[in-house]
Amino acid sequence: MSETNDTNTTPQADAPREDQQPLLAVRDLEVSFTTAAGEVKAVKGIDLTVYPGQTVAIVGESGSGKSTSAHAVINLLPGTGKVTGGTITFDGKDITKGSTKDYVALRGRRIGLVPQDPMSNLNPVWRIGYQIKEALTANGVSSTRAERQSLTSGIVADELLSDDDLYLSSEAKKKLLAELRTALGGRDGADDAVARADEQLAVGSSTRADARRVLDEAGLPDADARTAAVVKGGSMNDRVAGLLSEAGLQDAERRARQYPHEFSGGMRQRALIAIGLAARPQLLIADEPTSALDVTVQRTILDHLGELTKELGTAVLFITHDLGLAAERAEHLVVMYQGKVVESGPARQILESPKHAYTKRLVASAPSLASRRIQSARAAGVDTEETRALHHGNERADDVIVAENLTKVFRLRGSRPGSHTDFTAVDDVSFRLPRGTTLALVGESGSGKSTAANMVLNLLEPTKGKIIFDGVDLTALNKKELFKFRRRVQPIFQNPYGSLDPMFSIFRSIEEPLRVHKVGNKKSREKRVRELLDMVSLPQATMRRFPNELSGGQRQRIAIARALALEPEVIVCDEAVSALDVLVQAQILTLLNDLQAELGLSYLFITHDLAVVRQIADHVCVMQQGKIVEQASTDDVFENPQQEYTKELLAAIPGATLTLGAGSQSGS
Amino acid sequence: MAATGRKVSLMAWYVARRVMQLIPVFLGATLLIYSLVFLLPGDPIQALGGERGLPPAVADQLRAHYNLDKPFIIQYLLYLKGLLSFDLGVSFSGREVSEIIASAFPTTFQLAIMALVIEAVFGVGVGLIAGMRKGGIFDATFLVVSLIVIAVPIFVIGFVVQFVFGVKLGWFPPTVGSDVTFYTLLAPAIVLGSVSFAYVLRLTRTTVAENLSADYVRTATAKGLARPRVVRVHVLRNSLIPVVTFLGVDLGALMGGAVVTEGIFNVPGIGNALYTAIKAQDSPSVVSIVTVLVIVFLIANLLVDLLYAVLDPRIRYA
Repeated sequence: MSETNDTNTTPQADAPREDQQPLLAVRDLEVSFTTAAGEVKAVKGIDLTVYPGQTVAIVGESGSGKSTSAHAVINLLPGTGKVTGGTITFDGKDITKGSTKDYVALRGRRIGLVPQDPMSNLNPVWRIGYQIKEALTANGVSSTRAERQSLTSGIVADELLSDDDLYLSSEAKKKLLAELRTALGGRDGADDAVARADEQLAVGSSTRADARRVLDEAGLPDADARTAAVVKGGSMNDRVAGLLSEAGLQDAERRARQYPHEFSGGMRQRALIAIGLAARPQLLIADEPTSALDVTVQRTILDHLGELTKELGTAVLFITHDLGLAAERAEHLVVMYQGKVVESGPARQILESPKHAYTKRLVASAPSLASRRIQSARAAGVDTEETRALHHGNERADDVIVAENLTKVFRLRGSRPGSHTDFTAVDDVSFRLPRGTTLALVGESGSGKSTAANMVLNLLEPTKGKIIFDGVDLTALNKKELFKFRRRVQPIFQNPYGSLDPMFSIFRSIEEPLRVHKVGNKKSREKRVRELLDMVSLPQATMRRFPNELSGGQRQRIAIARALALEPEVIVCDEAVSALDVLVQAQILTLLNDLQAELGLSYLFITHDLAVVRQIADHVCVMQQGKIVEQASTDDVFENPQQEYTKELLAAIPGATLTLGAGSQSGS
Repeated sequence: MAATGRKVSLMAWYVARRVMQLIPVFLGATLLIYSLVFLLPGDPIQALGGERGLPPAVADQLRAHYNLDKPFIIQYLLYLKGLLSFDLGVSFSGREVSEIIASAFPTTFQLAIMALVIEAVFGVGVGLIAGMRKGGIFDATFLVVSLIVIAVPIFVIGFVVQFVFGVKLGWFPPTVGSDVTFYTLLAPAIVLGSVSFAYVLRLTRTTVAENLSADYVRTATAKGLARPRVVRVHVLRNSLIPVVTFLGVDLGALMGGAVVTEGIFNVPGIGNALYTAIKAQDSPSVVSIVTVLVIVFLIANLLVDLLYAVLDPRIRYA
């Protein structure tokens, strides 16, 4: 499936595609938004080509115009956005000047969309099944038999005649399984065989041909005649369940009757994939479909989406900010920057020899790819290595933080009045943070890593166990001592938009901890703020500004400056770089690394992203469901993971399977 | 189904708790009204006698009859005792208060429901169109109209409607009197619902405009749904959630707030009865009528909270 040439700039020269007409051809597209300040061009003349069945990824940072371009294709631009130039050709037809009716016919049926944020893209007041059913009825899709793409219809022409494409209905499945059970009688392993058949047959997705094959294998005599007699096609509800199970959702029939708020983020995204593919479109636009999800969930969903679209012959336009992810999932990459395509070509070629300066920077700082450069990243902190070696000789003498058998139990209100259930968020967790090093707590959301961090910060009281800070048990501290402790341990939180008070100037935000702890006078405090801004590489003039005037990366620098104000010994970074674009993320990590080398700081780094861990941490604790499942040095974890779960997490890093050429090494 | 069973028990528990909350509200409200009415200056018994006054012996007898010779708190407790045995007392004019309420309440209820339907239908309808054409002429026009309706006092609107449509054009009977029908109540219902119509319009307009740009609306459009269906199924239903909350609370307000409108159109409803009672310093009637109104308001509130969960499946009773 790999390509050898750049199809976007020279489609005619592309050997394997020569005879094929592009499914989607965008030429010189311009999109503008009308604002109070006049017309703003978000997309400035881009070209984009997708061939049938091909996966093309648009890569770029937020604001690069990648989503806007994709939405322009199906005329779903938000607000005042409109196409102001260029052409969009879909399946040989110019749709740029299409009427509303043309677009309604096009959407869903021929071009599907899997949107970005699963939390906000399902209507909260309708059942999941209803929302999928809408996609079927609106596009007049048959629920009785499997529809084939024009691409594959030739192969299954005779299948169509013999009714083998009829869907298995809920009743038919029950009937056939019952027949299988009686046919097998009390034979050994009969229950297993029935259970296996039950699992393999999906209501509304498996066809009569599938049923015949599965039941034949399971040992049902005369499977052909029996399935022919029973399988008569599914109902709309059967098909809805079928679509959900195709999207990888377990127990689909029951799930279809639930509401979005009863679904996790990953499950919602599966439902959205089911909606996007319900009418078997020729092109699927996947707009950052997994950016809001955990890495492991991201991987299973993208794997599944990849298989499904390959099977159906659907072309995919994949939009992402993660170069590693794009390179792994798409054959062809289009890199966008400030509304323009700066580079496009086969994925591997772009990764190995990026030509444009922006692409080079992107390749160099993609965390998923940086796993190859970790040695150079750590070389900056030589003294870190030294202190670490020192600690090995002088065991536990200088652990700045020691957590012993930490447990946190939350009490949840139960279903009956007055009843409650206990939920153990952190379960018997022990770790130590040697001074001057970085310890990472890694895990998916809900693994208890943030709860553990909050206990270290003494924002939550442990149910059991203790935290020893610099030799002193935190639980034994009185109010005054606790106040002193807070000076020495500072947090940096995930969301730089939420953790700075919008009513405080930057100066006030950074100066506040100094004032609270009565450090120095007004003049010396101002001097300190200037120093801190220097330290985080921001101009001193920034201190007169307000958070809303700064970018995400700048705000996170302010958060770091604020955390450093009191010269703490330990900084707890709770997903401190997760909300940032890759380039900014790389800058912040470098800054944290430099500060550690300079000031001898110890970091407790909470993250779900193992790629980040590799760049910053010395030791890693992998957490799962409140427990530490693996604890080792970063190199050991990456090179020789012991636990299945750790291996899963590692494999889930986008781009983990890619190897880079020498070209990218000189990137930064 | 275990899940359904649990939902029902949660719901029953929720309703029970809400009903228990009514008790302190009820006590507080009655005590407040009772003390306000009874601490008012002036002697209602003297007023009963009119210009000529009552002989002292008769006045004393009347005072004893209405418990007015006892300390305030005793009076209140005696009143509560009556309430609990469904005895709302006797008005100073000698009628059973329960009888006054029973005769006036149905009229007010009908008037309030008519006003509610009018404000809901027109408020949501106009608000939906205004929200979808935000910034257009239709939107601008109705924003001004709603502002005028909100700004002008209701008795002005009432008199204007009565004069123009009732007296000059003769479309409606100018007053209702004893002839209470759907037709005669139409003009007062429009006046009564006018202010809330303006609020419903504005609320609907804002939520519709907001929901139109919601992600799930875009997803619905991307599915291939035609515009009317997107608006009906995905915009309107979601926008109705706050509107229904407002309407429910408003029903209680309409019942109690009909005093002015009922006065203008001479509707023999509870507002009119209350107005008469206040003028006569007829404290047993005033307290009882207001108490009934408070209870109606609380029940309407409870119903809204239950209805809310029907509209929004995310609401859990816990």
